[in-house]
Amino acid sequence: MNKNRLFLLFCSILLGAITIFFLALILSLFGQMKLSSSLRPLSGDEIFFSVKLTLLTATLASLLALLISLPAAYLLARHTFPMKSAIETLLYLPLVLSPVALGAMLLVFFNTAPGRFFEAHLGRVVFEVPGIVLAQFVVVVGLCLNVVKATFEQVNPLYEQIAMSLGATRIKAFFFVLLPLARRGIMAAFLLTWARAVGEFGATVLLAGATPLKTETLPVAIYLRLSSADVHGACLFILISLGLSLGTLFLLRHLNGDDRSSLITTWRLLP
Amino acid sequence: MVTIEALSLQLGAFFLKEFNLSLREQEHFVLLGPTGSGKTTLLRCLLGFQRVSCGRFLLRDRDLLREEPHLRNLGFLPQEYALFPHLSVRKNITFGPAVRGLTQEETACRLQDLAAVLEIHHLLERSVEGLSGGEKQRVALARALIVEPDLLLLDEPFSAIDTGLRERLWVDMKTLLRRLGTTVLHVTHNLGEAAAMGDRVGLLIEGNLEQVGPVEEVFMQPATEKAARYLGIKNIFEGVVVSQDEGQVSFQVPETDVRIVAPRRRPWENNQHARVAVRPQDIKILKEGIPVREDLSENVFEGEITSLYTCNDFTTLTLSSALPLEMRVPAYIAKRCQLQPGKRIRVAIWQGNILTYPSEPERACSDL
Repeated sequence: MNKNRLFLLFCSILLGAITIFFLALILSLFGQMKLSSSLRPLSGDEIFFSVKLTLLTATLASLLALLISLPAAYLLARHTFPMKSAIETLLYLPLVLSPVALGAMLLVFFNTAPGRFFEAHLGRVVFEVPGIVLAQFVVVVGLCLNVVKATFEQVNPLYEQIAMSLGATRIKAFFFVLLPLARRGIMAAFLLTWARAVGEFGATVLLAGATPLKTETLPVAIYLRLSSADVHGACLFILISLGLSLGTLFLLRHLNGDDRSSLITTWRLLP
Repeated sequence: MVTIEALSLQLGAFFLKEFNLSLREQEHFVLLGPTGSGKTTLLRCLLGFQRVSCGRFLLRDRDLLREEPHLRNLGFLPQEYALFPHLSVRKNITFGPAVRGLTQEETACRLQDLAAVLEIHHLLERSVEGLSGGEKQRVALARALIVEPDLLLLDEPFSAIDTGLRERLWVDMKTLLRRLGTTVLHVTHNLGEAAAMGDRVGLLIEGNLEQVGPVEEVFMQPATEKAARYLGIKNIFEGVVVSQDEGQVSFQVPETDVRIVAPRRRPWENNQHARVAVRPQDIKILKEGIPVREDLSENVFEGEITSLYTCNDFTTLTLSSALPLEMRVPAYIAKRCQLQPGKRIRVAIWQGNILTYPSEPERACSDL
């Protein structure tokens, strides 16, 4: 066997091994569910509450992240300005910082005068549902910004320049040219952000707490079931999370564009 | 009337230095220069997408450099056309009127006229994907012209067109733009395109406008050695003035016994250093037994053909003689004279077309 074939065989074995490993993880869930019985049977309302809360908060956090990322990414992708590199580094911090640390930072912030002022005038955040949205937002905004910026950078700025030479203001060029041309990347950014928010646990549990039927998102529900040794219940919530994640990946796969695999790769590399 | 005054900018190591240019109403001006000479950068400055250090860009007494890009009313046709891929041909063309708030009637009227002139009626409902290079060019031109720009900027508009089609399209576009009465600033590195389309030509080399003038003047009388080199003249030699009279001046080529006699177009001092340039097509083959014409009699060389190739009805050959010469003759002459590498021939330089330039540092400024 020549060296080229040997190398391909080596790569194939590794790919096969990692695929089998993930399949085994998923199959073990079903096996565990058959073997174990629930200590406390889950009601439909409990499951529905967690799913509804997770979808609601993740959607709000992702929309907020996207709304802020669109203009911010435009500026970062199309312009140079003083301190740009430092600002970018700061905004990408959530990509590499532990969500627990981010949650702790949020908790500390709301214990300071500006944080207390915020809560006094704009509503309670700590140990409340808005805290979930904020925690998820802080964790995912860097990812959203990163993907939207990469998407904008892939659109040739000449299109916007042509639009401006034809009489479009910068705003019109943004809305009528850049956004339509970047729509697939923006959709991918939203889906990635949303999927990441759905799975967010560390920052959420620190800022919003883990109160059953109050701040019980899907990851919190898994945590609560496991901490009370309800493996069956935990597996059920894990399967629901798995379904959501696979659904998101399916959508990403079906978004056109050559960069989809790299976007998914980016997502998987996240802490 | 369009006037660019002392436009300057620095981009890293690149400088655009004190660029001055005036375009007449309805003129097709071609700015010719090699890749990297600053042509596209200049267009970006005029469009407002590149900040300039100083200068003015006057169009009917408005300094456009002080205005936002969307208010400048310039048409722009980039080399890759950049048709909006998310819009149909019709929506591409009517994008300008739509963002300017023109009425639908006015837009439809202009679209109708342009579609007829550019013969793109059948393309209007199509997607821009799948259009040929020529179709894309016409659609992009319609998109630029529908807003009735004060000045149309063309950036290498034929670079995406197959070579065989280009020459016909040069004539078509020139005729069309003349018919529409559009003032055009057209940049290209293609000499043929400049010669075919320009009313006047400017040579932009390394950020300097070396020469501006009517096409024939620029191509026949390049004002500087740089311009001569860019226009494809490879026979450029060092010379020292040894004698001169009213009509002609003799240059001795250092370290050889060669003297080149050239027309005297400017006063020279004896022993002044100069550069002597000879266009390849101005070197003629002399046939044995045929009297030599007077304007070929002074600069005669004998040498051996070292290489030879034929392209587009012309044969280019290099000659190893007292001076290394590159010459170009019609292919049928090369065939008739049975030219081939190794053959010895006698040639003469057409004296009236010899170009001379003072050597640095006293080289004259180009007559801009």
